[in-house]
Amino acid sequence: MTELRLSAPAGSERAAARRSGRPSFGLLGLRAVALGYLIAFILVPLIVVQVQGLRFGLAEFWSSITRPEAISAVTLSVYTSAVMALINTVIGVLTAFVLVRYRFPGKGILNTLIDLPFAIPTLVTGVMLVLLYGPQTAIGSFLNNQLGIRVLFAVPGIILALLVVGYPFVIRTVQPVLLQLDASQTEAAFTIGAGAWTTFRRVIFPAIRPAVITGAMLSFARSLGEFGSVIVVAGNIPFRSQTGTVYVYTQVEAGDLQAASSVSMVLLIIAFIVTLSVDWLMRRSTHA
Amino acid sequence: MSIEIQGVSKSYGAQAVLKNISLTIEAGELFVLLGASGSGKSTLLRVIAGLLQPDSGRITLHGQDVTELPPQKRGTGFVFQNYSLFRHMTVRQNIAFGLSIRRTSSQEQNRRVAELLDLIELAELGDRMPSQLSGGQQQRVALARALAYEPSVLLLDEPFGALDVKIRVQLRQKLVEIQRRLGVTAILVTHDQEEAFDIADRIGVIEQGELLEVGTPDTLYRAPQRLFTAAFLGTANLLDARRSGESVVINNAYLPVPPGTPHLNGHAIKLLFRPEEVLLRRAENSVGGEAVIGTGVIQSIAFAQPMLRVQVALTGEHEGNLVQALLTAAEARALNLHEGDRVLVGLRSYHLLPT
Repeated sequence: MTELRLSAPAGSERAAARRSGRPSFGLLGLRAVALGYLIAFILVPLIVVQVQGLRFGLAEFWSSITRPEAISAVTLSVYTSAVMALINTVIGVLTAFVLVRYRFPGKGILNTLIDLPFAIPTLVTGVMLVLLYGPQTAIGSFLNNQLGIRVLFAVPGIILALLVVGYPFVIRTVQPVLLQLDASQTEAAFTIGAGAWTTFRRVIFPAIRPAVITGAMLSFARSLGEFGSVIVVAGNIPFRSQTGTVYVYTQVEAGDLQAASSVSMVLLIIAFIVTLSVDWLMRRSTHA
Repeated sequence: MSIEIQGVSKSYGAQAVLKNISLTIEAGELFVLLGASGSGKSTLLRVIAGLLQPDSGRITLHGQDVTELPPQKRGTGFVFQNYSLFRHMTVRQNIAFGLSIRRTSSQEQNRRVAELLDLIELAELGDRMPSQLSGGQQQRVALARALAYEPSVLLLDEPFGALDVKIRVQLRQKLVEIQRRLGVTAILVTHDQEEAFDIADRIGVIEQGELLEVGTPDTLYRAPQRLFTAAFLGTANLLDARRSGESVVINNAYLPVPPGTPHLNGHAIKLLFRPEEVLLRRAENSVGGEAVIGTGVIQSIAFAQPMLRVQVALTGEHEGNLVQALLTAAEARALNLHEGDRVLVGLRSYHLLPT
């Protein structure tokens, strides 16, 4: 909804600029800086990776990404990121709802804490999780001995780490939309006869759905590339706790840049597809 | 009776928003709650709908005590000032929402929606999204949505407040027409007295959480019981007076007490008369026999279409009081009035109320 309002004047401004003839030097400089930055820091590295990955041809690229370890690593990344995205979407919508609709002591602090995962080095996140779930800790030994769940150097550890890293996304995309959603919409649904659940399902959720999906996809894309916390929590055990990024790191260390680039490309393509879908979804929701 | 409110009170902390309000609204009536912003009128409406819980008191709808019921179970139709349409649903889906919750067959839903679209004269816009409609059209859809499931009562919270004047007048006429046709009991909340006078069967004046007075528009305007009502509705000329038997004494003039006036002997009273009830005569050709209250000097004459608004400063006992008079152009021409002229002030009709 906001995007619609933002995009309309932007479009008309562009039209106005086109009509008025040549843009000024200031405007040209502004564009040159913005585009130059984008090219130097995003586009060039992207191209270099592609070139490197495809240096020995498609066959070599294919054999690099179809190595059992590579497949296992990328699959593990996608799988853990997907589980994380699912959990954080449910919790994120809930949290956003609580933050918008209710008043409680400590709300301001909680609201600030939510952004913390953006700011803490993910390596630190990993260390925190090791300190919390390690075999020598109460929680860690309880989970391991009583329930038989290994957290560290295993899938649960990776998912835990990703849960922290991907936590803010859904909350921060849904929260403003919920804020914008008038309380009288809920009240209208109530007076018409809709119960709390029906109101959420038919009135509130359809309004926040694009934001929910956007947040979920962003957190997914972010987790796919997570490295620091994962290597601390899960180590680097092929076929068990080695994620895509950790695999790439291992190949770089081993000097096999071609294999590293090839798997990087796969991760990039997945992230690119997700980002494009988010973009497409946003545009579609503004036209609805 | 259709809606019965008994002793409803509501406070937010130390601030009382509704003070022991009791009110009975008849079936099929269009009742207007009139008050300034912050008077508590919207709060009362929300209490009736169940969106707010009163601290004390009972709400009865059609003989059923609904005080403990949640809004979903009360079956009221509520129309909000900001329309509150569901943005992701078409007009048709919005109107059908209440029916689909009640699991009405889709055939019946379609029939009912078509009927309501006709009623609000938007038959061809059923598949539009709310964002593609004007404010007035959106509010008509909101009305249809609230009427679709045949609500027990219709509650309207400043429904025309966000619309411009011309649309507002059209839409309230349309509302009256629909309300009359369906015979649904309705309460409308507004701060706009012109709107209240235009559509209400009865008006309740609410001020600082207190329901001051209830009556037909005509009664409230001509014969209010409370000073606040007299001053709040329209322009009021209020002068101190004294009652003596069957006469009102004002400025050495004795006027007969209007019939139906309660016994106010010995009380300090106010004489109320509306600007259009004021008669002006040139002082030099004084005439007896009329209800003349004194003399005054014309302060200003202004055009208030289609009438002339004349301000007269009283002299004598009521010196310093200004009387507002409304004269037709013909009257004014016949009198040939100018600023500074001395005039006799007479009254066609007046009303007494306790101070």
